[in-house]
Amino acid sequence: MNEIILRVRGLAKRFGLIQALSQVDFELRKGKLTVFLGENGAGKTTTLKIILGFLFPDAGSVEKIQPDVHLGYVPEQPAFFPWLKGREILELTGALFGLNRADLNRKIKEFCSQLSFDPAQLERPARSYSHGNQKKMAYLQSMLIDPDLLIVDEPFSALDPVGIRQVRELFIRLREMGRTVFISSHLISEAEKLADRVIIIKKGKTISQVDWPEFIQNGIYLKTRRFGSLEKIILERWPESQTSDEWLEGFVLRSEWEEFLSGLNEDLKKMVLQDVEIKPPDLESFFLFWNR
Amino acid sequence: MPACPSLKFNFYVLWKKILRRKFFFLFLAGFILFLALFWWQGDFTYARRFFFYLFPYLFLLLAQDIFREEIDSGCLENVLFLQLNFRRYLFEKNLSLLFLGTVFSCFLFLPFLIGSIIRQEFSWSLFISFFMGIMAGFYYLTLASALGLKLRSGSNVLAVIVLQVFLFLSLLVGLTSLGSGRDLIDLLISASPQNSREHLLLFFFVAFWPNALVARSYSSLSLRLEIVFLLLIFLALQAWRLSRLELKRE
Repeated sequence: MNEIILRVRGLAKRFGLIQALSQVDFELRKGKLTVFLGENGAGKTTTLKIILGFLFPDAGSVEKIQPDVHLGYVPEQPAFFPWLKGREILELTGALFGLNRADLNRKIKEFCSQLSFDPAQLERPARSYSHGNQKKMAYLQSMLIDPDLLIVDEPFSALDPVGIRQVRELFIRLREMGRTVFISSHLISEAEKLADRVIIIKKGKTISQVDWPEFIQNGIYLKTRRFGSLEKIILERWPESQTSDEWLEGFVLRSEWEEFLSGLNEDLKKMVLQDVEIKPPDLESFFLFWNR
Repeated sequence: MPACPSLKFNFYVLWKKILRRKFFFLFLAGFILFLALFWWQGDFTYARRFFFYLFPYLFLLLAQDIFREEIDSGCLENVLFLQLNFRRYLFEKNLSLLFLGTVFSCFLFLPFLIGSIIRQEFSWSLFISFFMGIMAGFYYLTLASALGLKLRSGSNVLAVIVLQVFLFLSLLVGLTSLGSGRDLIDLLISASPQNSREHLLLFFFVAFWPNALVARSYSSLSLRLEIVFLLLIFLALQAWRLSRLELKRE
């Protein structure tokens, strides 16, 4: 399933003196879970808010490929009308999205159970909930409307380990149902368990996008000391490799690596294999690689 | 997809918010008590006059912190506003508050209407005064809402009241210190300007205190049109500012 559901092109956004986004381009594919990674201040939340229409871009566009695509949203720190009870908020959500009373109650019951959210809390103002329960409330609200595309900013923040597991299972269920999920997260270990696609943003620019399961299957992570005899050879072959003071590292396709090795004479090959550390790619190394 | 009309949603959210405002209901109760005291003392006409001159302030109070609380708190960054446009929601609050203010005003007007009929003092001009009061109230509402895009926590309402107090104090000082004080009083009571300077003075007076429109002497079309014109300006200003509004949480 590679149908594009949303396309973001050339987004730019400035807040006063700060250039929050300068060139953000990516596509979201139907039925996939895409993880949006970047350091603090890289422009993740700004990008999400532009997609949702809460901010205007200075340049670029957000194109919903199917105009009737139904969006759900869970912000990093959900906020609710302070004077409305949880149930009232859910009822408003149901009314706005055309749910009848019976369906609404059934869904509330179902998702409260899935998220271990005590329905008795719904009789209190949502603003008075703990951070974790406010987050669950935001999930509950989004799940009621059965979104085609669920956008989540920091999906695991404020949740306890049980909540994290429940949200992870929720994402998996959504994916199984063919829904698209787009999450911006700092919790790399969780994101890695879920990602179909990874997009890295740095200083307002998207710098890398990969289909993660294929990348793991076909790619390798290599690392060698700098200033050795291999540095020049590797940099010539893979100019995208990155260097730090001491190390040279990169992600390359396994087939390219094997082809490269087969082109070397036996002595050089032996030297390369001695000096280069090779391991399967992991999301943390991938993220750190792009954020050197 | 069937969806409940945005105005219905707007009114529901607003009504729940108003219900939480103890100060507003305290003011309302105080206002009713004040009018009832006058009536009870036997001065029905004065009580009715006070009602007409003061009820537009209900609209002003309803507009307390109409925008900023919601914009700054982040509660508009919600799934609800993926279906509804939050900019439109904020603008439509003007209409919801106008409706709510009109309903409150009608409830307060009803006893005076019945009282006037019983005392055989009924005249259609009561309805005209009431309608002018509603217009003055809507003017306050749009003014306070326009200010509410910048000012927080009820300071939009406070700004209008402080400005009016300042105007009345200035008038008082002007009346006592200027030789032409008598003329000014006559002008403000009769509302019949003789030259362009007096016209301008009257326009300013009505712009700062639109409640004057409920008086029979202020029935000139130009003064009424002035208020309508200013009211539309405030609405246009809001529409323009809201169309550029972004949700940047502070």
